Order: sequence, then structure tokens, then C-alpha cells
Amino acid sequence: MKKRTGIVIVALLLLGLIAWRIWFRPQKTVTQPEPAVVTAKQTVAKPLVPPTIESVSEDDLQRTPLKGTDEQKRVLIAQIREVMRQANQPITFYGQVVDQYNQPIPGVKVQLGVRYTEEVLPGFTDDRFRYFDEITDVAGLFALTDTKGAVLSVKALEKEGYETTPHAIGRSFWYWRDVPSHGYKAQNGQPEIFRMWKKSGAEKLITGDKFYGVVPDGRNYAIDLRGEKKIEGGKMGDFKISIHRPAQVSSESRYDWSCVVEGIGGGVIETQDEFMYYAPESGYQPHYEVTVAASDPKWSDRATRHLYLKSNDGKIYARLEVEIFANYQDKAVFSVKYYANTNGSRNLEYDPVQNVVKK
Amino acid sequence: MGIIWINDDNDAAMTYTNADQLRGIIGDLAGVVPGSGGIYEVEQDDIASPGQNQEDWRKNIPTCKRDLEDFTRLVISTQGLTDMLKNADLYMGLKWSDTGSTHPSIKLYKQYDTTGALGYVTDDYQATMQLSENAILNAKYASDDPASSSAHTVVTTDEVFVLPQGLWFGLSSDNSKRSLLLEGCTVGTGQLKIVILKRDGDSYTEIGEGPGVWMDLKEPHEFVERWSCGDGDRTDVGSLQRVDAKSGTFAAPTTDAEKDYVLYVHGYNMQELEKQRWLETTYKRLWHLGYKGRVGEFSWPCSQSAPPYDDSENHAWQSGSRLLELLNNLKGLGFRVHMLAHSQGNVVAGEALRQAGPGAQLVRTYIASQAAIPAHSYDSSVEARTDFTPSTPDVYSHYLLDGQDPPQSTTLAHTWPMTNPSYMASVKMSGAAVKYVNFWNADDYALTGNSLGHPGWMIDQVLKPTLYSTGYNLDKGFKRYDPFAMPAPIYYTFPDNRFTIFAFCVSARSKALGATPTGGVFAANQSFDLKTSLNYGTEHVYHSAQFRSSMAQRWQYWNRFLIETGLKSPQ
Repeated sequence: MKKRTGIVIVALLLLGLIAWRIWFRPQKTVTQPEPAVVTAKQTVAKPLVPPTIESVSEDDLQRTPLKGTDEQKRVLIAQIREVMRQANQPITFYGQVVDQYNQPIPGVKVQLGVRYTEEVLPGFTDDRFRYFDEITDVAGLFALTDTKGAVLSVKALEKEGYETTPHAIGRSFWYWRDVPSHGYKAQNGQPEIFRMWKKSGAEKLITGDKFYGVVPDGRNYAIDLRGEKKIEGGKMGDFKISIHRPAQVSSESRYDWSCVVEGIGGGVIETQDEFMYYAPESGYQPHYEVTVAASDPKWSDRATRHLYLKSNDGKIYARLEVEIFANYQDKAVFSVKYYANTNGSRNLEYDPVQNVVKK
Repeated sequence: MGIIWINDDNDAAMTYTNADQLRGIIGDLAGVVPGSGGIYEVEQDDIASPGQNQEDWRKNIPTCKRDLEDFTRLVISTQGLTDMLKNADLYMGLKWSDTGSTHPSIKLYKQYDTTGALGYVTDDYQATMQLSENAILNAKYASDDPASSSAHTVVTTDEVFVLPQGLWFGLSSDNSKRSLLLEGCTVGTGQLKIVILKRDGDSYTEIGEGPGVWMDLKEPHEFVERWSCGDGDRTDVGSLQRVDAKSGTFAAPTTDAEKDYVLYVHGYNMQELEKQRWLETTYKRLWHLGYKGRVGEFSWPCSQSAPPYDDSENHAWQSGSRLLELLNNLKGLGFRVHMLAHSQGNVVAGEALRQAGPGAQLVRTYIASQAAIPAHSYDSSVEARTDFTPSTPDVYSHYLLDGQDPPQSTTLAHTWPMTNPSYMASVKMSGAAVKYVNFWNADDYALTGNSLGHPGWMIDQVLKPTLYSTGYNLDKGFKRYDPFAMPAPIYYTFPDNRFTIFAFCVSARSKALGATPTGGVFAANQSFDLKTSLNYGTEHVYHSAQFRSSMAQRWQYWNRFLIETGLKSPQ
């Protein structure tokens, strides 16, 4: 009996030793947070739930590709699973697709991609994607529920007769990473709006992407889109540009600078339109000026603008994507990507099949 | 003289509709769910080096849009002869002369864009349309199947290549220029001359000779320069050497444009073939956009597989001093260096510039692209992550400050004042490069992910103390302790062991530089948002999209690179 009692005590001690090794040694090895190290930044952090190493089975230990002792593997597997659990947030998403007139578009195929983390082997994760094709209903609405992941992205919007923009399909929504303070929260009844352009039929445009060097002393240059010419002091063409800044500047210095765009026989309208496929009929200003003051806290030596252009008394309408560099190779640059209808039509839809491409 | 490279690689863009079809092709299945549907493109850099007789030039049709990057333009004027060529009263031929002992050869394709513009590499639609054009067949062998690999499509030194009558259809006296695309097949130098021929049955007689163009056809590696401090898989960082077998032999620059030197620093998980191909891709894409300067690479002993990530990072930190040596050498030779570092290569680049010190001006422009280095190392004010509680001091944001009285501890990082500047703060490296620009993507797969297979920068930071049995002790500092392998913990000190500490011990509290805009040295210039500007997405391919896919899809990245470096020539 005593012998048996002794065996039980030894067995208990051994169990205790094993439990100690499982529960305490890894804690030392991992070096859990100690108060003196915690900074102001850390105090706002959401504590990671301590790894639950009970969930790590013997089979997991056999199959994991991780190296180390069983104890080290247990801790790592548990920690990795906790990261994975946090990253795979429940995803609910509501969207609506409308056209340029804010009318809902039914029957749009919306491809959504969800990145999630999967355990390929115990303690070995891979980020993967699930893709979902949702079809909008009569109200242009679609929804995604019952899945999990870290980030949802809109990959494509497709419907015959409609066009979308990179802006629309480049949107992404993070459900993890900035949780809980900034993670995306979908709200039923307040869908995210995605726009498509209802095409009316493209006409032949001329298009190009030019990078014009400019002496930035306020002198004028005439730009002829059809001939792709820049003529200093010219009066003929589609629009004039001039850039003004101090003669001597460096990449570190700040200075006042400005750029003027003038429609020849017409004018210019700045726009925030997502689609620039139909030029406005009116509202063109003869002069459009970008001014940047040295005192502006958001000062930059460059500016981007989207402009509609009317020129030659309405014979030409164009959309311009402009980037201005006030200091480039000791001069300045007026960079413009343009799509111009030279037939007097305001239709600026682009179709590469029937357009002349000049680069 | 036209100096062009031969098309000796193996570009491919195979599309599979089921992930399982890919398994036998490539091992890299990031983002692909086994058994799932979808469309997957396999690109050139995923495919092994071409075997003998598998080079792209041997195929009589462009293999894919990426293949078009190995083509250049050749315009032939038929002025004065247009109608006679159209009516087959005369034929035009091409022949090589002055080739010496070399045997240059090319193939020609009718360009889809009749204006002869660059759209075949900058316009996806035109590139797609170009893929349907077969190589031009020597009219002497008109009965050949043009799609067959044995068709007579190569302009060799052996015989005159007769251009077919149909090539001139559509031309007129007012429009007498035919735009062709040319690909190099075999190396050599010579003059490609136009000859005028008269046909008599099956024979063609040369009755006149037109102008010629000198061509020098070389292998792609001869256009680039590769420097290395080791290319094995995490082998020891060695001395700086030029890899002559994979480099050109550049003469001293003879023009101002040749003084510009784009230096590419590769990232992690790069096998030998990829290091070379991505260097050549950098050269090719910049060349098409008009860049006339030099292109080189600094190669370092990264991990050639994924993972291990942290050991690779350790090698990256150690390689910084070798890169610094190269930068000093290049500056000494009078080059204006524009450094493009990708992913973990930004650890190498950043450390080199930090060691160079403020005002060194070793680099004109440093483009940190998709940088796998903590944003806090440059700017301590970047928002901290909130998804985990770090267990190590914030050494990136507030690094050891030398020269203090009393001196700051070289071990107890948690005692360093919060006023200490970050490791790569402006005060330490402003002016080491004249201009710093951050090319970032908030959705970058590698930098925001939790994959251990491709890591997974976010999860890697969380696991750093654990993964390598490292940690921090309040009395003794950073340590490594594997109780089953070491009799006692090893304790580390700053600055001597900082690379080990960064690579294995410290959790970064911020996102990666390549996933967020930052201040510090990057504040003076606008960060470039790859997501909103170029539609870089969430998938793995976008972590290195500029090297992958086709130039027709990615040229804007390289165009922006030229703009930010000031290398794009205004018109």
C-alpha cells in the first residue's frame, strides 16, 4: 500500500512537472508583456487573447511543419491560430450599383474577392481568396453575408452596355487590421454606392499622353491636340498653358507657384466627375488657374486636376487629366492625358477599336 | 547603330480555369484555393529557364503580351517604289552585310498599329491585337505554313530575305511607310540593307541596293550590370563583386544620359533566375520608355524560398554595408544613381543610406517600392497597430541615441527616452539620398497578410519574439533562449547586434513602409499610392506586379518611376 502510495505521489509529481513544463516554460520563452516595457502606444492596444494551447492536439504536433520542441510548437500553433481567428472577421457587405443618373441598375454581375487566412497545416497559414459573383436586384442592390475574412475588395462590375471605372473596382474594405476602432462596419439600408456609365455609343476620339516641358516664367504655350504640337507663344491650337514660379528653386525650398490653362475659343471646367464621358454644355471659364502658396501647409510642387475643355468655338470637346510639376529638370512640366472629340460632339466615350491612338 | 537584345527568354501567359491544373506547373499557389475555379495566369517569371530550342524567338508568333517587350520597331519607307512593290513589278529584300565572323539574325512582324507608335507595349488593346500577327515569311518560301516552326521566317546571313508583296498593300504615295516589329534571334553585328529585286519565276535578281541600318544583337544580360555580395540561399554576406557572367562590360559613360544609373535592389524569396530576369525586365521596360542610361542590380543572399523570412531579413541588414560600398564606387565613377528597392530589398537600401549618413548624396532618388520595413523605422508618428500587444520595446520608433551624458544603455531598450529619434529618422539620413519616394499599397498582399507560406509581414511581426525563442528581459535586454539547445540565454547589445535584434526579436508596432505613407525623409515628396493610381489590388501578384505580367499592363509603374526620378524627358 505504501509502495502504491509512493508510486501515486511520484506520478503526481511527474504530472506536476509536465504541467509546469507545459504551462510555465513556454511563458518564459515567449516573454510575455512586462509592465515596465509598456508604452503609451501599447496601452491603447487591444490585448491579444492568450494562446489556448489546450486546443493543440498531439496530431497537430505530429503534422506541423514548425521546428522546435513540442512545447514551443504548442505555443506557436496556438498563437498563430489566435492571429488567424482575429484576422478572419465576419463579413457583411451591402452595395448598390447605379448609373450616371443615379438610377439603379439591375442584373449587374458584381465580383467580390475576400482575403482570408487558412490553416494549411497545424501552425502554418496561408492567405487565400474566395471570389463571389453577386447579381444586383431590381433596385441595384446586392449583399454578401455568411463569410469571413480580413479584407473585401470589389474586383469587377459587369453588364452589357455599361462601363465602370478603376476607381469603382479598386475599392477595398478592411474588416480586420484596424479592428475595433477602424474596421469596416456595413449597415443594412446604407449600401456602398458603385457607379456605372450607361454607354450611348463611342465616337471617334483622338487620344494621347504628353509630357510637355515648360519654362516657368509665365510665358504662354499653345497646345494643339490634333497635331500634338506645343508652340511657344502660339495663338493657334486647342488651349494655352503657362506656369510661373521663381527662377531659382531647389527640391527642398517652398515657393509660390501657379499654372494657367486657357481654352482657345472656349474654356475650361474643373471637375470631380468619376466619369468624364460627356462634356458639359456650358459653364466653361476662359481662364483656369492653379495657385499654390508657399505658406500652404499642404504645399507641393505638383498638382493634379481633371478638366473639361471646349475649344475652337465648340468644334472640340475634350477631357484632360492634368499633372503639373512646378520644378522638373530645372524647368516645369505640364503633363496631360487627353481624349478629344474633334467633331463638335460632347460625347467623350472611348472605344479603342475605333480610336486613333497617338503616344 | 541599333543595339538590341535577342529574344532568348520564355514568356508565357497561360490561363487556367481550375487551380488544380496549376499544381504541376508551378509550386507557388498563393491565393489559389485547391479545387476552386477562377482564372490564373502563369507568367514568365514563374517558369523555368528556357531549354535548348525553346527560346521565344523560335516561335513564329508572339507567345503573349509580355513577349512583345522583346520586340522593337523598324520602319521601311517605300517612297518612289510603292506602286511597283504593290503590283509585284519589283520586290524588296533584306540582306546582312559587314557581319564579320558573326551571324546576326532577326524576325519581322507587321505592326498592328500602322502609325508605328509604342502602343504594342503601352496599350493593352493594341498588344492583344498584335498577338495575331505571324512572323513575316520569306517570299521565296511562300508555300511554308507561317505558323510552323520550320517556316522560313528568319532573316539570316545565309540568303536575301524577300519581303512579300502583301506587306505593301494599304500603302500609297502619300503614306509610304510600313511599320514592322523586329525581334533578335541570334547575336552578331552587321548592317541590315534593303535590296531591290526583280522576280523571274522562282528566282529573284538583285537590281539595286538601298540604305542600311547597323545592328548589334546581344544577349539581354549584356545590357545590364549585376553586382553581388552573395547569391546563395542565405549564405554568408561576402565581398562586393561584379557577376561578370551575368553582366555587360560597360565602358565609361560617353554621354550625359549614360551617367544615369538605375540600381535595382531585389527583395526576398528570389531564386537565381528571378534575380536575373527581373533585372533584365527592369532594363527592357525602362528602355522602351526612352531611358538611355545604365541599369544595374545589387544582389544579396536572400532566402530563395518562402519562408524563412526573418533569417533573410538578417542577411538584408548585413548586406547594407556592401551596398554602401557599391554606391560609393558608383558615385566615384561619376554616376547619378537612382535606386529602386523592392520589398525586403528596402532593408538593404535603407541600412546603406543610414550608414552613408546625412548629406552624403550618394543617391539622387531612392524609390522604396512595396517596402518590407517598419514604417516606424522612418517615422515614429505613424499610427501604431492595434491588433496585437507587442512584448518588446519600441526600438524602431525610438532608437539608441549615442553621445548622451550619461550614456544610454546598450541593452535595456525600454529605458531609452521616447524623445529618441527613430532608427532611420531624418536627422540620420536626410540627404543621403537627395530625394526619397515611397511607392505604397495599403492592400499589399505580402505586407498586410498573415500567411506563413509567403509571409505575411503582419503575422511575422506578431510572432517575432516567439518564432525564434527570443524575447526581452527587463534586467538584461534582448535575448535568445532555446532551453533545449542552449545552456543559457544569449543576450544582445546595441548597436553591435542590432541586425539580429531587428530580424529575430523585435515586433514592429506599425504597418510596413510599403503599406502606408510616412513622414521622415519621405515627407518632402509625395508618396505614390499604387492602389489608387495604378489599381494595384489585394492579390499576391500585386506585391511585385511591375516585374510581372505584361508591360502593356504595367508600363505606367515604370513611367512613374521615370517621372519621380526626373529621368523622363519632357517634350
